[in-house]
Amino acid sequence: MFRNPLMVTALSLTAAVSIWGLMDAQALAAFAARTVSVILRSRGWFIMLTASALLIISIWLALSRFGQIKLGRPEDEPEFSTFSWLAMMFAAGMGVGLLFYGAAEPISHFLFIQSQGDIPVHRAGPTALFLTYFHWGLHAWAIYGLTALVIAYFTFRRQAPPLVSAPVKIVFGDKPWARTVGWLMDLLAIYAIAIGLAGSIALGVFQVEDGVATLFDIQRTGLGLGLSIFVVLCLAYILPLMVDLSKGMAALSNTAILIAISLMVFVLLVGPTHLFMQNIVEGFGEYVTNVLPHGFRSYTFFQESVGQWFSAWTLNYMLWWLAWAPFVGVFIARISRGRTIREFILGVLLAPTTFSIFWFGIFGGMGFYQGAANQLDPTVVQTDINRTTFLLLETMPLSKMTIAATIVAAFLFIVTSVVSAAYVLSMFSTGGDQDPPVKVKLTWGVILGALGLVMILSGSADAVRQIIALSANPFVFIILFLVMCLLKALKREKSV
Amino acid sequence: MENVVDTLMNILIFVFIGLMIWLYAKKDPGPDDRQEESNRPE
Repeated sequence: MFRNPLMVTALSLTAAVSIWGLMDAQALAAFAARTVSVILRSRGWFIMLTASALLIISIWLALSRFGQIKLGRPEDEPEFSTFSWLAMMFAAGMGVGLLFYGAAEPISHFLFIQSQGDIPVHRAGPTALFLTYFHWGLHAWAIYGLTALVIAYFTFRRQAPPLVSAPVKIVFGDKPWARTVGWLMDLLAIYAIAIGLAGSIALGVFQVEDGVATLFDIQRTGLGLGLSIFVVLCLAYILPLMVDLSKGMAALSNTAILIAISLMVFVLLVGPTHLFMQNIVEGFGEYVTNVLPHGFRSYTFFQESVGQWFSAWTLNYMLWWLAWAPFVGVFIARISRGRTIREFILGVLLAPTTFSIFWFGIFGGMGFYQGAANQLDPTVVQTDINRTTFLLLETMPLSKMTIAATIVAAFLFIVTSVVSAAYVLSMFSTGGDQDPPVKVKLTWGVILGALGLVMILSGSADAVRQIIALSANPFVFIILFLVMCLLKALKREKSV
Repeated sequence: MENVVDTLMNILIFVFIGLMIWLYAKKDPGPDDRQEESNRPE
C-alpha cells in the first residue's frame, strides 16, 4: 500500500498535521479554531441547508419509486440480522458520544436557555431536549445514510469498488477531470477518516479516563492514566482486526449496544419513570412538529451569545457528522448489501433516531430531575462535561456497577469505531477490496493508534475537536457531489 | 478583509451549487450510454 501515490500523499498530509500538533499543539489548535470560526460564520447557512436537503432527499428517495431498488443483485439477501445491522451502524456512527452526552447535553442547553431568559422555565426542559434530539436525530443520520447509500448503490448494483471516487467515475466516465476530482475526494476521505478517528480515540481515552478516575476515586496527575487506557485500547482492537468483520464487529457492537440498553432500562426503572415518559413524549412531540423548520434556522437576528451557542453546538455537530460520514458511510454500505433503498433509508433514519429519543429523554430527564432535587450540580456541564454521566450514576443504587458498565460500553464503542475505520481505510488502500488482508488492517490499526497517541499527548480535547472540524469541511461539498451522482444514476437506471 | 473572505467563500458556494445543477442536468455520455451506443446497429 505504500507504493500507492494516493496513500503516500494522504499519510504525508496526516503526518504533517500530527508533527505540527506534537511540536506546537497550541499553535495548531489556534489555527484550527480561527479557520473553523471563519468557515462557520461564512458557511453556517450552507451547512444547515445541506443537512436539511440531505434529509429531504432521503425521505423522498424512500417514498419514491426508487425505494424498491435493491442494493445488490435480485437474489442477494442481507448478510446480517436486522438487530446486528442496526447495532453495528449505531455503534460505528455515534456510540461513545451518547454515553457521555446523554445527560450533559440537555442540561447544558437547559442552562443556556435559562440564562437567556426569553423562554419560560416550564418550556426550557422540552426545548433543551428538542435541541438535543435535533443534534443527534434525523439530520445526523441523513448525512450518514445518504453517504452510505451512494457507496452501497454503486458498489452492489453497479459493481464499482467501494470508494468515494467510484460514483464520479461511473457517472461521468473515465475523463481526466473526473479522475482528478475522484482522486482528490479519496485523498480528503482518507485524511478526514484518519484525523477524525485519531481524534475520536483521543477524546474516547479522555472520557474513559474520567470514568476510571470517578470509579476508583483517583486523582489524575499527568498523562499516566490516559496512556495506560490507551495501551489497553490498542491491545483490545488488535484481535477484532484479525478476525472476519462479520464475527468481530457484530459481537462487539451487539455487546456494547446491549450494555447501553441495559443502562437505559436501569435508569428508566430506578429513576422517576413517569417523569421520564412525560419527558420523552413531550420532547418527541416537540421534535416531530419542529424538526424540518428548525433545520433551516441559523439564528440570524439574535444576540451574539445565541450565535456563539449555535456555532459551538449545532454547526459543530453537523461538521462532526460530516467528518465521520466517509468512514461511517462506507462501513454502513459494506454491511447493507441485499436491502432495498426504502428499507435501508428507513432503517438508517428511524431506528437510531428513535433510540436517541429514548436515550436522551431518560438520561436528560434524570439530569433535570437531579438538578431540581439538588442531587447534581448542573454547572458540572460547564466545568467537567465528561463526568456528568458518572456523577449522575453515582447518586443512584448500584453505582459502582453502572459506572463500570458505562466504562466497558464506552471502551467497546471506541474499539468498534477503530476497527471499522481501519477496515474502511484498508479497503481504500487496496483499491476497494471488500475483504482486505489482515496485515493491511493491522497496519492501519497501528497508524490510527499512533495518530491517536499524538492527539492524546496534545492533552487538549478542544484542540482535537477543532482539528476534526477543519478536516471535515470539504465534505459539505463532497457529499453533495456524491448525492448528485446518485440521483443522476438513478434517473438513468429508471429511464433504461 | 473579513468581509472579502466572507464574500469569496459565499461566491464559491454559489459557483458550486451552479456547477452541481449544470452537471445534473447535462446530458453526459457515461459508461452505460457509451455501451448502448456501441451496441447500436450501424
